[in-house]
Amino acid sequence: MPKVIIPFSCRNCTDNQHEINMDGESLEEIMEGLWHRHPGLKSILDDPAMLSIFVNSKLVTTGIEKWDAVSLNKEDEISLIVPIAGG
Amino acid sequence: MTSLAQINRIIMPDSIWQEILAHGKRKLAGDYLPGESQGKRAYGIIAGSQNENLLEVARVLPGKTNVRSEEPYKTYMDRSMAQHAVPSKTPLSKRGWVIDPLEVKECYDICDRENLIVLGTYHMHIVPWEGDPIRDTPTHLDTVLARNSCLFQFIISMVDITNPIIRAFYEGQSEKEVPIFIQSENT
Repeated sequence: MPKVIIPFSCRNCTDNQHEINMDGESLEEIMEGLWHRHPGLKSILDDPAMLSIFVNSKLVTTGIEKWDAVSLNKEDEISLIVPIAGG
Repeated sequence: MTSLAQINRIIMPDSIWQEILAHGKRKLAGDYLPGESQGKRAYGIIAGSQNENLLEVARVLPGKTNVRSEEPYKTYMDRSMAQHAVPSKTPLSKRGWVIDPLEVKECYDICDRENLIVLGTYHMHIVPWEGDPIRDTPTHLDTVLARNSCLFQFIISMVDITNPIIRAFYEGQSEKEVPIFIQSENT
């Protein structure tokens, strides 16, 4: 099943798990499952619309609009990248 | 592993400090790398290792591309600026930075390959403010943008380029400063 790599800053919401195997055939299913299993993730990510999501090291989407359009295979590795910003 | 919130000391090799300084001075001089975003802003990622309550810095990964003016970051940054930035001579639309997520991913991949962890981010302050002539602490906006990051924010004061200062604050909170010890490679 697809594997989600949890950003360092969010691991306190996942009992320090770095990688989580999730059931699902689209990015939308995976992300909804992730929020459901670890509800703290959604709030700590602050603004999911800012998330950049990589599948097998390729940037597939920034924001939430296209999650349903991204199909996944069970070997896929999903990386969540939280923006790094400053003033 | 202990959370970075429990850290009480940071060791930084002098060579890393010199690398950060060189980055800042190069941007101030307007000497840009090919494809690098222009502007007098130096920012990046600091990586290293953790040993109980001690952090040892091992790598600096300078940011190259600023996507602050691209969506969805523009909307987010414009809103953050309007709510939290202290007005200054520079218009809000020209302030702030966001590292290209492709670069952030590359940095994370480097850390994985080299068995390092991301310890924090750094950026420089160059303009003195009334009541804050040195600018070696996080602004309110810095604190807001570092919220929930679980990382250190390293502030580089380059207001006086002959006397640069580096300080580290957990999640950009002034009351959560951790001392940095710059270590010469000869010691």
